[in-house]
Amino acid sequence: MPGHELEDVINQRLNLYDVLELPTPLDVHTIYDDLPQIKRKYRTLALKYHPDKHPDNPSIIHKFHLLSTATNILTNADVRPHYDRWLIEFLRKTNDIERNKLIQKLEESESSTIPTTTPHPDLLQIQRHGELLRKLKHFNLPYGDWKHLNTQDQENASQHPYYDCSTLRIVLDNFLQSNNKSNCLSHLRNQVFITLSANEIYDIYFSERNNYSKDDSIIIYTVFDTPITAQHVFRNWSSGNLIPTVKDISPLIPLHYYSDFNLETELNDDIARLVSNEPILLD
Amino acid sequence: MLKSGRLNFLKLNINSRLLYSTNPQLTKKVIGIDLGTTNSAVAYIRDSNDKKSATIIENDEGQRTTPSIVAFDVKSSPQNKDQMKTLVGMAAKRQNAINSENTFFATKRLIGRAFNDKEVQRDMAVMPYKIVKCESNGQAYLSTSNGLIQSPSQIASILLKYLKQTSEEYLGEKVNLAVITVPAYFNDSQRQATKDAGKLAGLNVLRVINEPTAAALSFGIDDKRNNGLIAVYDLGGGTFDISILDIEDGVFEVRATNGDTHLGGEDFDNVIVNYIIDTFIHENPEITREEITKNRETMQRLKDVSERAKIDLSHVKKTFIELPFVYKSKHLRVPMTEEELDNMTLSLINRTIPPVKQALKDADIEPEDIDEVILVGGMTRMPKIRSVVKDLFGKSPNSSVNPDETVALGAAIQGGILSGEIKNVLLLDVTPLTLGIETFGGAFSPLIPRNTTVPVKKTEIFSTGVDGQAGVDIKVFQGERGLVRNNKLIGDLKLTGITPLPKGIPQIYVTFDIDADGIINVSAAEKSSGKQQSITVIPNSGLSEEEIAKLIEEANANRAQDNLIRQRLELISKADIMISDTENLFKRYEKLISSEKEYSNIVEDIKALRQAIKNFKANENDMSIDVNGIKKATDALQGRALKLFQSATKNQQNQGK
Repeated sequence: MPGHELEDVINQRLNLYDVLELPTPLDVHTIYDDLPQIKRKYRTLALKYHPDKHPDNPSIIHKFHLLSTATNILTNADVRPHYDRWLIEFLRKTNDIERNKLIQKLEESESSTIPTTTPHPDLLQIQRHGELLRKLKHFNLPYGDWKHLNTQDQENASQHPYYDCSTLRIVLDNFLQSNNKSNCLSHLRNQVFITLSANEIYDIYFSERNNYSKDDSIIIYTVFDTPITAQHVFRNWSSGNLIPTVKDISPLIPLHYYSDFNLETELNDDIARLVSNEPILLD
Repeated sequence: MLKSGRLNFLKLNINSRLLYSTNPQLTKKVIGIDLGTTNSAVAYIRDSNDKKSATIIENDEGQRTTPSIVAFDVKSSPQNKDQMKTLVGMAAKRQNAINSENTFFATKRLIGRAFNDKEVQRDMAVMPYKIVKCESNGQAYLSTSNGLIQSPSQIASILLKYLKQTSEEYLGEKVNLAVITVPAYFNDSQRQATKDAGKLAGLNVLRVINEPTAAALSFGIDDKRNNGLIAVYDLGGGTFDISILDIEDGVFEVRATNGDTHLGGEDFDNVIVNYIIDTFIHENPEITREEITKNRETMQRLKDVSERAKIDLSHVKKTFIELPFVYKSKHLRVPMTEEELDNMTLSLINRTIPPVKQALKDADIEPEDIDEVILVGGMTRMPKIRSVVKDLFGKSPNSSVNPDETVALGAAIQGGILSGEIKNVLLLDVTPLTLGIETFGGAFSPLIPRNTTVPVKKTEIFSTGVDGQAGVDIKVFQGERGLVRNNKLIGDLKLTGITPLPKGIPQIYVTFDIDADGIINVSAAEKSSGKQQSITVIPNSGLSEEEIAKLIEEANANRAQDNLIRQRLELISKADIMISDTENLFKRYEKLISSEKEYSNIVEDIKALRQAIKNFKANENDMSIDVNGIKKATDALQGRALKLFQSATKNQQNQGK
């Protein structure tokens, strides 16, 4: 009858030494000098797991059954050698399987490594540009003024089909010292862009950062009737045809949108000094 | 002045007795009950901090054991046999000679047995009461002379109810939890029937444990000697058990158990009875054996003197069996020596030897490995038994154990273990018989071998033997023989509704479960088609669940009536005590008080009350008797008596001046 129990135990892959909290033997025992130890361990664990000691936990009975089975097999001189032989072989195979799995994982991880390649030259250029932008951000320097648009004038954009493409950022002398729109518009049409017809200047709006009572110059965003008109004005300015009261003209949209335009832009001295590789001298 | 002091003392004595009262409360106390064939005992744990404080509970007659006898007074209610008065214990034993047909003793030998059982048929020939067959379940039942039929469980429940009541009075608490002992060799039906008896008596039976195991618990609980191998030789009134236990560090582990469920003191008594009859017939040739054996009264008297002789020969070398007017004015005087008794009963004593050797073999132990042998049961007082045990084990048995009480004490200890009162002690018992099933050709296939530690569970996988078979019939047997017809059928498990498949393909899982009481449950499930069907076999214990429920309901219906009668009895008992005290005082101080003018009136009233009490005792069931009136009159009388004494004392003091 213990043979039948042995079959059940082997089918369930049970380590009876673990059940009895005993060290697993390394070879098949032929001399059982540890029988008293097994019995003592059984009694200690029975006192701990017997259902009589756990009236509120009916499932504890399974643990007790395991203890009884383990003791029956390990104390039976006819059955134990067969169990020990099976267990040692089972553990050896289990260990081999685990070792093989580990080796396979290692080989897979090695073969899956992708060698690094030399990055593309364009990538280096992009990285340097990103580095430039990070420096600008670090020093809180604006790159374009689009963040400070006056939202009240946005309603005009819906009527003009190419509002942003037709806009130029113009820096003027602050002779008016006010943000009166009609006066400024009249000034641009009659004094600054005298070669243009009146309807070619569509609209204007002011930068939020203008300080009309103190600054020497103000920034006015001028919307022309078509992008071609805007490009024409900008082209004349950049080719050296200066206008007396105008300090600077630049497009609102990125420069490369003008596909046939070539400009070697120079940063102003302050920015050029900040982004150069020379160390910055702090106060 | 001296006399006055004495009177004050007497008053205090009277009042203190009157103030006694009992407040029954619900308790978690567990009592241990040794339900013996001949005698029963009850014990409890007095101090939960001291696991050695198990104590015997005395019954209402001050005895530590109670005869396991129940009698019916057929004259008490001739019309309605369900209302007959029942007597239990010593009261039942005293009237046995004149009411032997309705006095049921040794019913433990019948409990849980079928009528056709060989042992039952043997008992029918020797018992003075009538054993009948229950038509519904084939079990052995008992019948009174006026036709009331009761199961052995019902008889046992009457005894258990008496023991429960005794315990409640002794402890002053309500008692409803119990551990009951059974012989180790009891099979499943017998164990279940014993549990049913406890249930009928209103007890919640936490556990049924084996008698020798209980004895070992009681013996080994002492820390000084709690390690080693012990053998328990238990020869009681009706059963013999031998158990081998290993005790270590608080764990009591049963290694093996064996025995004979039909060997005990009663058999020894029968041998002596036969010897006496032979002697008597030899001296009186004109009398035939049949004439004597058919006379129930004569047979009962012979049994009584036989038992007494057996007991005497445990103490003395020679005794005389004397009985006047045995039969037809003939007298009996038979000398008997210890040696003669030993020779007569040697065959019975020798029947205990094979189970002992088998138990030692099962435990894989040599006799010399045993550290202690303890004797349990009244029969072990017989010197010959002790010498046989000494020869078997090569050492003298331990004589520090009381054979009559140790089992009940052990049951109380197990109750303490189960209730959590006693910690660090565990009992690991075993199943005494092999459990198996019937296979081809009526062969017995063991599944759970004997001496397996309980609780145990085992699952077997079965399948069909015929293509398209839709059901299986699994017969579960208990016993040690190779063929099922020699073993006891425990249950018949029929599993139907199996999906028709080619033979050998259905997977039928059958689980065999022996719980800690030694009671067996079998369930089956068929999983090959994803279905699960479970049938649990409840062993045939002689009483179906419906019958038990009905009997409990009847007991509850009669509870109010029983309580009322008990209250009336208590009132009259108190009145009786008060009247007796007053009578004694009057008699003692007659000279002092006889000159008082109230003396003659009080004496007449005492006589009248005494007559009223006597009348009640003769007609206990007469509800028209005014018990409260008697009690009030007694109280008033006592008040008048006290005044009389005060007046007499005062007058005497005046005369002294």
